[in-house]
Amino acid sequence: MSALERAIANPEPVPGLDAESPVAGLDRRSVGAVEVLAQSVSAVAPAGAALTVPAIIAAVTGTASLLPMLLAAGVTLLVASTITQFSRRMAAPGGVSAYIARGLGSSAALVGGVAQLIGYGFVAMFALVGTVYTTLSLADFVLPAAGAPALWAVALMLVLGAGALFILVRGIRRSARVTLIVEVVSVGVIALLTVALLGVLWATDAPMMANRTFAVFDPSGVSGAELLVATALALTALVGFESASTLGGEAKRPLLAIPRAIVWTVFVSAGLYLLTGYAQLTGIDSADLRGGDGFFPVDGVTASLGMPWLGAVLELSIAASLFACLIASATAMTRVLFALAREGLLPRALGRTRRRSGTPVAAVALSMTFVTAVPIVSVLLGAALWTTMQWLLLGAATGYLVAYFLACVAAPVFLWRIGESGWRSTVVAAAGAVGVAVILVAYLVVESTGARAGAVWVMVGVLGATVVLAAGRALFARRNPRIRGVYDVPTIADVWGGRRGEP
Amino acid sequence: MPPASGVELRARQPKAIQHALHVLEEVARLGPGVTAQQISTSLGMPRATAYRLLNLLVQEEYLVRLPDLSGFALGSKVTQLATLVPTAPPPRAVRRVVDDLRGRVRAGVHLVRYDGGILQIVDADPDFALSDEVRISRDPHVSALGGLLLDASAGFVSMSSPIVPGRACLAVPIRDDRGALVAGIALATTPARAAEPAPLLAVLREAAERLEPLLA
Repeated sequence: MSALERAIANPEPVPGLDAESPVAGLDRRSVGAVEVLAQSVSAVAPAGAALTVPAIIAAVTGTASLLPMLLAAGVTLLVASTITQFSRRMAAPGGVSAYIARGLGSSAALVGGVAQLIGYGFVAMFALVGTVYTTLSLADFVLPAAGAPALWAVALMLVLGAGALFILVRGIRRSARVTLIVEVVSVGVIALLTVALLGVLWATDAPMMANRTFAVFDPSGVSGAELLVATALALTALVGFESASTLGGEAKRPLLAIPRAIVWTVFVSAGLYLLTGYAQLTGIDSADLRGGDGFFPVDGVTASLGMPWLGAVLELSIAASLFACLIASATAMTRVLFALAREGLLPRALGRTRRRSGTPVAAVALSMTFVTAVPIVSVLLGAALWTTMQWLLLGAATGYLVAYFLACVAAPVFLWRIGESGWRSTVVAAAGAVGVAVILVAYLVVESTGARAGAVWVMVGVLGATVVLAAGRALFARRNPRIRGVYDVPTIADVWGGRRGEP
Repeated sequence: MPPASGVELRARQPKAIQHALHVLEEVARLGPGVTAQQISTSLGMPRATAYRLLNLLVQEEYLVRLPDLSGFALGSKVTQLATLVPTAPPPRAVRRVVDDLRGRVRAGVHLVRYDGGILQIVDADPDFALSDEVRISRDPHVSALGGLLLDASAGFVSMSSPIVPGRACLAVPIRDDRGALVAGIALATTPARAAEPAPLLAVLREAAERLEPLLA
């Protein structure tokens, strides 16, 4: 080890470094690997979706099949693998928008950033409304006929919004621990109950279960168009897996913890969906599933099994999981706002942090105000909670998928720019881009003919306007700051022989 | 065997550790700023293997990716691979002077020697630990005590730490009869106190004078 020994004994100067990272102010290197995983898993909120997704797929497309879930998991893995090409190399609180900036430049990053903020923001709102919806439904179970639900809902939203604000302001270490505990318990409860249910089902009627197991994996009865739409719906339950990337400024060993968290989140979430989907599709006659509408198709099942309390336990863990999702999505949103402010794209106040906790307080306050106000307005205007949740989810899924598509296009360019491209990463990224594009178009086309056509056009309008804005910015306003995709860089202390000065 | 699976296997075999050490060695040999492609060419290693190993070493922080994202350099953690030879404790008379100074100032007091032009930490303040002992003893640019080594004629060196923001250091030399640098004593304090060095320098110089006959 002669060259290494010499280099250690007599460090060669490495100029061009600073004592602080460009993302200084955040609680740097404070969040452990498990909490980073919890951030991503919570943003997906698998416990919240595990019971509804198979039923929604069955209700919308009439297919009692696990194939859409498998297909969606496959496409998600392609995207996740591509995103880890970035997250293994740069730790950026801006997450995907910073990755896009390093690959495709400012204009694409602006579109990606808006799409990403819509994704995180709308999922945060979805989670807030979902927590309220679930809590009210639980209250109805405990204490039937407590009147004036709209006012109760608004009051609950205010309370939960304030609670989330409090947790977020206290700092990432504490909020990450909250999401971790909630997510472990809620995913654990649902997985255990599902396994127990499957055990009972197999023990009572093994031949029937064997038949149904064969049926849910049988591709012959599913048409191509149905499969595509069902896959799109399944994919909306997996978005958010990349949100660990927004802890780039705060994770311990970010280049190791974040890519691992991203890939593991896909495995945990898709695994849970496959498990609960399998239990629902084999344990329940598909006619019952299709009849189910709304958020809790399992209510009828648990009641008919003579175990209504089981429904209450499930609802409680779903409510908890959705609240964790609110915290995680709002965290991701604030980190993106923080990063865009540090880029000079948003007011500088959003890039400031509290000294003690390292929380970007202005960004947190803005995010939570927005996240609480929009659903309250929607409810006050007379929209039902479930309707509100559905259009929020549509907006969020569109935002995420646009950001994923851009990230998949950006990855090969980024790798080529730093001289580390390879054919395998290029093929994976290309497959991910094509998969996401096809699914996004199919999803929007189907939704544009349904009850949420208005929301589709609003999303297309907002993203279209952002594209025009980005193009105009690139063409006419050359003085605008370039979006560099701000990321954590090694400080003098991190590099053997690190120095200030020109590199 | 197709090349892809061959690469996969190679990076997972026990040989991977050996390969990783070769990569580390090569970064040290070629110097900071070396790119992944240069490493792979220079080692005759398949590119995908080199990228994988480089990313692993960066994840473990033995290497760092420089701000341009394409160049690599050794991370501070590599020094954990090197052993530190402990130095003999200083004579009692020296310790008495240093301890006396520690009792009088609200700051960390550190004493070093410069035998053979190499900074050797003789007595680091146990209550105010040095930010990075290995770094300070190897790299004269990161501490005021190192600064004395770089500027042989300096009466004192004041420096805000490039390693730990919000820390600063004042160091004065201890010389022999012919004026050659023998040792140095330093106060670790805040940048604000280091900016008005006169009162601290007075106590430091007094201690240095008492130490001179004991060390030179």
